[in-house]
Amino acid sequence: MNFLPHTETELREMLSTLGLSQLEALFADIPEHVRFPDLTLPSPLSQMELEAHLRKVAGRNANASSHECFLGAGAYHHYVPATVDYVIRRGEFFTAYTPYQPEASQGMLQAMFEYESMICQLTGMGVTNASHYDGATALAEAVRMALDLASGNRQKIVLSPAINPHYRETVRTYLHGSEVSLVGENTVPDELDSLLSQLDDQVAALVIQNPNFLGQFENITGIAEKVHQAGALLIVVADPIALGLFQSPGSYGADVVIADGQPLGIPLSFGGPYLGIFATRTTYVRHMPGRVVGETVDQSGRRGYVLTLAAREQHIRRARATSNICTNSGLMALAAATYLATLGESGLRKVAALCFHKSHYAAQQLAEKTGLEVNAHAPSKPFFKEFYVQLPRPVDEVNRILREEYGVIGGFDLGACYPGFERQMLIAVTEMNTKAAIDRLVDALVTVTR
Amino acid sequence: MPEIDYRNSEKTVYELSAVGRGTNLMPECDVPKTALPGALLRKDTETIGLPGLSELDVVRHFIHLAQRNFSVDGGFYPLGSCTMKYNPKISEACARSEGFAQSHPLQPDETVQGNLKLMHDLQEWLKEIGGFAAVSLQPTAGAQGELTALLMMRAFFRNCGETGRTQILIPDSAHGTNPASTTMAGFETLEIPSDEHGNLDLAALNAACDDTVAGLMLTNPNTLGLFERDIETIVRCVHDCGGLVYGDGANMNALAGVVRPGDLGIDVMHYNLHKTFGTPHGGGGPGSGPLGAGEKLAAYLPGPLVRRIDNVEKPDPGYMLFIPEKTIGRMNSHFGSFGVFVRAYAYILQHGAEGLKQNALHAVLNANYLREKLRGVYPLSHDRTCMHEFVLQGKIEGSSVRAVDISKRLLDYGFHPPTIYFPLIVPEALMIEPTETESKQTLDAFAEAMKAIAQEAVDRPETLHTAPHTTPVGRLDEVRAARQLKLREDDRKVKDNLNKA
Amino acid sequence: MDRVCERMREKKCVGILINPIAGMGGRVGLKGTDGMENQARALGARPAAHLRATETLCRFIQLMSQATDFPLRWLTCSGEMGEAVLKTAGIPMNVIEIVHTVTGKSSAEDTRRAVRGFMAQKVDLIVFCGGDGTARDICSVAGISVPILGIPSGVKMFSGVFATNPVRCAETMLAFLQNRLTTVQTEVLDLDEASYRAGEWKVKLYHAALTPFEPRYMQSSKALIENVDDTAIRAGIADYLLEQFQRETPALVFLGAGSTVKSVGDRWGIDKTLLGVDAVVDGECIGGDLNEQQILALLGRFKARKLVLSPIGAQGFVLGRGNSQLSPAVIRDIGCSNIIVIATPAKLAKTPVLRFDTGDAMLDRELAGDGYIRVVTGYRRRTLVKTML
Repeated sequence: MNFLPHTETELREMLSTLGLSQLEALFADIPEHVRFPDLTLPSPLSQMELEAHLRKVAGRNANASSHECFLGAGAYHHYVPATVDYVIRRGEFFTAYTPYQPEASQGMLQAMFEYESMICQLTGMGVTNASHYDGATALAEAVRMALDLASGNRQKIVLSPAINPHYRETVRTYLHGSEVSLVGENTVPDELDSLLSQLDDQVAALVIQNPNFLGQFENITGIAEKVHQAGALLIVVADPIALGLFQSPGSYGADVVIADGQPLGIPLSFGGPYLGIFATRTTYVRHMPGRVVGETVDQSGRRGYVLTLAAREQHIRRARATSNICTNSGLMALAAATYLATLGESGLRKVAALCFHKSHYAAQQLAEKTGLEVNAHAPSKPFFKEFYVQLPRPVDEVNRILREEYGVIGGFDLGACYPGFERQMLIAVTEMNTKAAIDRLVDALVTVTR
Repeated sequence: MPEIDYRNSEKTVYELSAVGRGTNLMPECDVPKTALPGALLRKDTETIGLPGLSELDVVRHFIHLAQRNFSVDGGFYPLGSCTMKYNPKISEACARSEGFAQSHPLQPDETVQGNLKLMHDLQEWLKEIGGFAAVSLQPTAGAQGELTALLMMRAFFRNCGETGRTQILIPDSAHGTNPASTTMAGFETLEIPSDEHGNLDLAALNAACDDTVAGLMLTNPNTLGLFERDIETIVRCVHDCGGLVYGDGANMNALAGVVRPGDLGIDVMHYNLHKTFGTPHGGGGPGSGPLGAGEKLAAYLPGPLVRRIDNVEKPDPGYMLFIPEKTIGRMNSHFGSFGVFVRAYAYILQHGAEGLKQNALHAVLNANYLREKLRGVYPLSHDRTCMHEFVLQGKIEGSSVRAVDISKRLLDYGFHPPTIYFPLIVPEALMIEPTETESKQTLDAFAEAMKAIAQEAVDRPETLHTAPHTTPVGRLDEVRAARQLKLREDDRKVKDNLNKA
Repeated sequence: MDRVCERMREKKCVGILINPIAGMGGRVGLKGTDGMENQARALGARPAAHLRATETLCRFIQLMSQATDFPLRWLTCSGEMGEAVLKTAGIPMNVIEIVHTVTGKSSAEDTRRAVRGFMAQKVDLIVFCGGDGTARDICSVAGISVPILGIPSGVKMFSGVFATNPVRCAETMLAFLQNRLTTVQTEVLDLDEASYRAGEWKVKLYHAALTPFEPRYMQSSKALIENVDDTAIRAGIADYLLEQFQRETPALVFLGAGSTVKSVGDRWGIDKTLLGVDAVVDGECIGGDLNEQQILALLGRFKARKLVLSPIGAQGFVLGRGNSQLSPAVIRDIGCSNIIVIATPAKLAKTPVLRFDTGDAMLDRELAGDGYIRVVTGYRRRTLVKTML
């Protein structure tokens, strides 16, 4: 049997220790009529066959290695330094449990402490937790935290329509069990003013994404003041790569910053596992969901790290913000820590700059060569690594041609989520797309849209 | 307060950092540059504050950290309720195939047929193993699976117009996440006591069941490692009052191939892929908590799910995503922990039906064997055949040591401590789960260590009170950690080591 | 937070107080020693408290010598109320400070003076050797501002401040002074000795006290055990009741006796009496420590009503001990379904069964339900607890 170590002799010895003659006798507590069902599962494969089989299954997927990828919309094809996979594959991390025994888990705990430190720097916030499942769930828990801070006296959340639609849907699901209402989603994606007009004394938080789902920077001047005047929190969904170059949400007054940490050294992996980044003001540390690692000393004064603040109020009252998070994305946080340590200050700035310049080059070439309109709804707004173009044909049709004839995974169909954005394709350009590849995309679109 | 002693501690990335040091991984910009929007940039004075390290600094640092971490690959982890079994290495090789690792979650269905096939098959296999009508792979961890199930119950009763059902019954031996998920889903918790055999008190359950009950959350085998013998009566009791039964599948490791929770009448249950199906715990995640549902709740599962389409004109079937009819909605950004699915798929395919059953048999054998070996050394919480785990009391006659002391001392013997003080209903609980992948030699060695510790508890209790002695650090001051909060590196260290770009 | 840190940097300070005659009555069949010392001596009783105290302190010194060194200050009274025992235990004179000198025979007044002396020096912990009577004397001064810990040596020890034996007491002292324990609110109870000696068994609640607390662990996730903050749990219970009352809007709420119910009152911002039954209308306390007639009169004025009660720890009496104003007539008028029983999980852990003894057997049966009642144990959290008649 695959990983079972007992020899026949050992098995007999062990059974005789228990005074039994067969293993099945251990299951007498289980109702007999349902005991030991015949399961219809495929016959087992050897490791050799398994590897070949899975290679074949994987081979049926187009992917960012087999194709040139211009698809983003929340998950991005970025370079993963070799150090990252090397570190996270170490069995000491990979096969460890959650670091509840600090003496035996100093490695993971210190790595999490460093992760928290670097994310605080990146976001401009005071504290960071040791991760959530992904960006969407981090946002859902941020919203719950805001409701908790309002002690149940504010029952509204303003969500910008320019937040990733999947994030908004997740927030909605997480709030099914409450009386909270979500507003703002029906406003125009490019107008923060109409969003701000939703603020009143019932609003616990206003959430924006910056750069937003359409790739563009929001005009955040004065927004924190307005939100705070209304007694609400400002929650910002960020792109961690953009933070290498652009203002941190902490610097413009955000109260909570969440992000999906996938761009920080985590492969696309068909949507998961990813990394939910959650950072907030130090004032709110006792309301922050999730685990957090802190520094301390051992009994002889040596420095060490532990999971701390376990008894935070929300765990005990268990109702207001309350989070039930337990297993999180520890290994992915380790990947992000390794990524940030490897790239360092200059490396991260460079990635951000490459994304910016390459996407602007692509946008400018497309506008120039195809004549298609770029960022039609707000052409003057600055953007980071994504922009959208108005196609003369349905997006899925164009994408099929791009894939089949040019080996390109094209952009995201905004019309699927935003009325009024039909035939708008959201294109993501990262450091992975060379000038030659961008030129090929432009040429292809020139042909396809002619 | 004594000064902090830094000897023997691994420097942090900031302490290792030097101004101007770094790596150079990124290519030069090959396109004409566009002027940056100055007003939006971090100010010149506002550096990010990331460390400057060479690649060797990074590698050596994280290897040092790895060396300060216990793991299944490194040693025996008898951690009750956590199922720390061996994580097959073949799964890692498979999961890193570019087709899996480099595919984008928003690609059209027809370009990711391999992924969809894998998800579809895994769904089907989990349905078969658990006896359910449908499975959603979406929940990202067991706790999220729990929350999802409760939200589904809530939607179900709302649809039936039964909004008066506000109570969720939870046994007093339940996982701590159960009540937290309950309140998150807008329900109230009613805790049901256990009887003297460690099972749910049926009389209490009867007293609790009425038309305000939405459901019961039941872990079976329960957290004492005991199978609920009256499971069918329990389920009937809850169903008769109109409630639903949620199964916490955390302990499915003992049941795969042995009994199908769906056959016992469980309406909805989460699986922990990182327990039952041998995917790694990753030092605290990622997990994966797929949800199986019976006929009543199947339509409420979070989507998308995968459907197979058999096309007579093509040799291979096609696969497509679909949203269940009455879905409660999405629980995360995409499909859940896809990378974990690949490993669980590989695990099931490697084992087949008989292999899974043998795993359960051996897991239960190992637990009972170890339990027998430790009989008389430590008091047993309940003296009856256990499933895959059992609970001892960390109490020694004539000694002041406690469960925590015993567990910490185990580290000096090279073993990870068991889960302690859980379940709460057993004083000084030591919860031990050996799993099926540990050999008799390991189990014997562990039993010997436990006996030696019991003797030390009488002879030199102070050795236990101050254990562990051989780990990189000793017992840590958790009160200081919580009172003098330091959750990030000092600003001063960050600033001193800024790498001016 | 800053204050806490400051305190941590300072030397820890312990107050030691010994009631030299504690426990004497018990040995010779007297039910307590209060006012009975001479009779006890005449019957041959010899003081034993100093032996228990010496045992505790010797064990403590031994434990402390094995632990990482930390400096301590000892405060105590002169002579047999403390100083003598500290010397016997080998504690150097230079760390002992006498805050109160006893002249003549020690009395309850000496105890109270000593406690005032301790408090003036901001002690971290008062360790006393005695029984419920001593605990009452200490708490009459200390209230819940300083944690107290009892070396059990009295005749009666119903209060929740006693360690189980001298060895455990020494361990608890050390653990608390090393910041490994938290504090919890508990109750100081005592038998009414006069009625007890007359054959009547009447436990009365006298004070709320603070005592070191072996953290009760609670699991918030699969293996994460955590230290539960007693205050937060009480706040959770209070918030949940408030939330329910906002929904059901009872015009009149009675809050019963005891520290658990008092903390509900505190959370609501009401000046609730510790020992009595108080009435709340529109968020205002309209009557404290009410008697049966006053309660019945109020019940005549308000239709929608609730009564919040908490059992006596360990014994489990919800009604019939120390709350005779809640007579069968009162309970019937309020209605059994309007009674809400609350308890912290820590209290319930010591209290497996709940009891009702109103003096009306039919009513008791009704109150006990079908063998289980629902007890509020936290925010949106109730526990089914066995009842017994």
